[in-house]
Amino acid sequence: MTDTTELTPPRPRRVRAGSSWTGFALRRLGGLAGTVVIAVVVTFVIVPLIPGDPAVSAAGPDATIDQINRVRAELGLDRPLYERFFDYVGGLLQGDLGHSFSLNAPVSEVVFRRLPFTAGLSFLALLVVLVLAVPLGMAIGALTRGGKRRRLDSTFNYVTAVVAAIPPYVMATLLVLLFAVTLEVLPPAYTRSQPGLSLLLPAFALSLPSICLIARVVRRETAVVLEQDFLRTARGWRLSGLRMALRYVLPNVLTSTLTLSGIVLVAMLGGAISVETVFGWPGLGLGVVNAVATKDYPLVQGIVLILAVLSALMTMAVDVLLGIVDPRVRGGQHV
Amino acid sequence: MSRTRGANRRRTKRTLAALAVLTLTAACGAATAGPAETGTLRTVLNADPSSFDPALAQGQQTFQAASLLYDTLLRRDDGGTLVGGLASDWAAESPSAYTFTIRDDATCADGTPITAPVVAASLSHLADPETGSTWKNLVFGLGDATITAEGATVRIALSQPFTTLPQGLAIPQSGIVCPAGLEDLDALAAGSVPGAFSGPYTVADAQQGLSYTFDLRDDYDAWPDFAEPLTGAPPERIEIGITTDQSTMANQILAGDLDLGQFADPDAVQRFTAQPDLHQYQVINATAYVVFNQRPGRVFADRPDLRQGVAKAIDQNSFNAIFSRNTGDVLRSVVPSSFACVNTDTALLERHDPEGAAATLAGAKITMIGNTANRQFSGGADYVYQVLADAGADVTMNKVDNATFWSTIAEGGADWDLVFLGDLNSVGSISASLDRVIGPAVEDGGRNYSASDNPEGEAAFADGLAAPDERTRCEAFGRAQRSLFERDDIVPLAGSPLTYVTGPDVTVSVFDDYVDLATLRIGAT
Repeated sequence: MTDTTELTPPRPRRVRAGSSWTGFALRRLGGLAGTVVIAVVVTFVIVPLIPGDPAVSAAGPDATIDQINRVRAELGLDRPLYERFFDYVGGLLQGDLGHSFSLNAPVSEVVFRRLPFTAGLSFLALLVVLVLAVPLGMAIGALTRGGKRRRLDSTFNYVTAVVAAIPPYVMATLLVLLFAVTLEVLPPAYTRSQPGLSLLLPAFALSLPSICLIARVVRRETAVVLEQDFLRTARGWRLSGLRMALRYVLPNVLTSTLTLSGIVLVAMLGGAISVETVFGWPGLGLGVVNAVATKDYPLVQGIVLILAVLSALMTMAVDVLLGIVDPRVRGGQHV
Repeated sequence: MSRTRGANRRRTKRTLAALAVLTLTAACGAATAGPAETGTLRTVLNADPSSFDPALAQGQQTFQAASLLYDTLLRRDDGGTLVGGLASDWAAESPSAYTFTIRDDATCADGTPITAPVVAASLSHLADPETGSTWKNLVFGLGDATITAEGATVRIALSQPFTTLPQGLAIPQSGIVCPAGLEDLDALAAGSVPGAFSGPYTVADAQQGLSYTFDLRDDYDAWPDFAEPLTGAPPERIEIGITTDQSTMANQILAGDLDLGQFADPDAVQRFTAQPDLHQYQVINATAYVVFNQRPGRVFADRPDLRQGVAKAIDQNSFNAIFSRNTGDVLRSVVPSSFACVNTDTALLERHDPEGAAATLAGAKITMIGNTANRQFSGGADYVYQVLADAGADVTMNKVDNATFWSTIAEGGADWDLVFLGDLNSVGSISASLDRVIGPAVEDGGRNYSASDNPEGEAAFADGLAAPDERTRCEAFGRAQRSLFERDDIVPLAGSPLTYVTGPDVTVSVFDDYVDLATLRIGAT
């Protein structure tokens, strides 16, 4: 007698796509919530460590001790830290980011007034990165495939390594020097009458190092993909270079590009602080620099929190995109 | 086939060339029309105005905004003189009683006539301790002020003599707020009461943290009669951005994207030397001088010999070379040489004597606070630290940011022995700087950071505030300054220059070391 069950090959465990998405989404949302909680606590605890007394900053150097104490009480700075923290969290739960000491306005109003500037800058920079870096990397990867055009390959590697290593504020200064001061073809800083033109230099300052970084990765991935057997077959079908690149190479380099783009976009938000300062671009980066200078705790906390949440959201968005492009990323789905 | 491919290639090249040309054309169009064409003046402030209530103004950017929005009773003119603003005439009945006749043609932005009761109500708001204005004591003195309106006259009675009252009533912080503003103080502070403004401009748009737009009032005609009449037209609109970076500002001026900028950094100013079409106006914006903490238990308390040692260790010219790159002047007192009653006798100052300094300072433990507000102050602090260390003193220097600096020395019991102040005297009177080192200490409600015990200086200072005429006033303030030098309570260093740079079409009037932004003009001859 034979035990038929032993002869039956084990059936692959199928997990429905829906449940894998649910688990994936829950994990990411949990991560997002954790990030927000950590950001709230850390910003609240760290910001008061900024040297200087906000009450003196607000009252001015001509204020008497009594006037300073009065301002301190008005700002609520005479209360224990834990009390202020619970008030802050209570306000956050109701969508209230607090009240700016220096601008005498709700923090949310100030933040959302500046947010479009930073968002516009970051997304234009990312667009420039993706539009330039991916084709550039793929083209160089294709042209230097199999050890061909070694001079081009080494030039590309050298130039991109140097440019990728330039910090955004140095890049910003160099671009201003070239295009605004020397050639006088673009505004050196934010101009209300020409916001579009004013955006070009900051966007390039922010994107150039990233273009080089991503182009290097795409070039390497392209070179690897082009050596795959299915590409040889595709070449045998006499497909055009463009069609081959779009249909077979691009999908295979997309995973690493997307992963890197998420990191680059988050890094751009950080880089925006220095770039916005150089270009007087009135976004969140410049806002946080000014808020630190004026010891405006609520504004610093609000901006840092919003930047942290944006970073977490963008990371999550990239994860979701990766999950769509490459189901393995979602985890839990095996055939 | 090959011909078609060649044509395609050519078409692609042409398209690319056209795109490049279009981009360049668009870019070359970057230069914007200037104020002569648009009537709009573009400038930046280094921070947002702290409040649109002039009585609560803090920071130079706020004073400047207030000077455009609110008229004052009096206005500064050349040579330390005053001219009428909202007051057509004024008189000092005594050092503690003044009358001001209000002109009959001035109106608020909402059309309300600016009468004596309107002025009295605004000045009472400034003088009211409940307002919490830090300018109350600088305008009215330490005593109480009673302000009343009688017909077209405003009478100010002070409980203590204060002869610098007229100067105080010329500063933007004493600007007259119209009744609509006083009815809603929160909205006034936010700049959202259109009828609050008594000056030539109103706030058309306020985007806190981003930008402000001030519009010239159509009905405004209360321009002062300066000794030298203004020519040109006032800007119809002033667009104000917020920028902290001096290089960015310099780039914008050079690119023609800004019409007015203010520069504390001599290196930034240097960039305009080859630009003859731009106008430069340099003023001494603040003064730097050493102040000693003379509270009991501190190293400089009751030790004039040690203070003298510090004065001997410092070479004013060397300090000035570092502090202002020699673009400012070395000081003879606590205020610039343009101020009335300033000491001019260099013999009163200690001479640079490193050996003499070493003889007294060797081994002295000194805690110094350095201000990192900007490169000039940071470099100046390094210089003072180095000369004291070279003299053998055991110096500990804590370098802190501007707010920390002021908050530390504003506390009576803080741990410091020596600082050099950057004193921004917005009143334009020497008394507003002398009280930094003479009189009640900060912890006692005064402004004296050193907490020095200088009865002779205090008596001379009080005499100056009560003197009925300029000659006796200057004689008294001269005695007060002499006492400071004899006691080595201060070491004058150098003036901190601020350079205003305007575009080719724009001019502004400078009265001694004060730039009045309400005198900005386009197309002046």
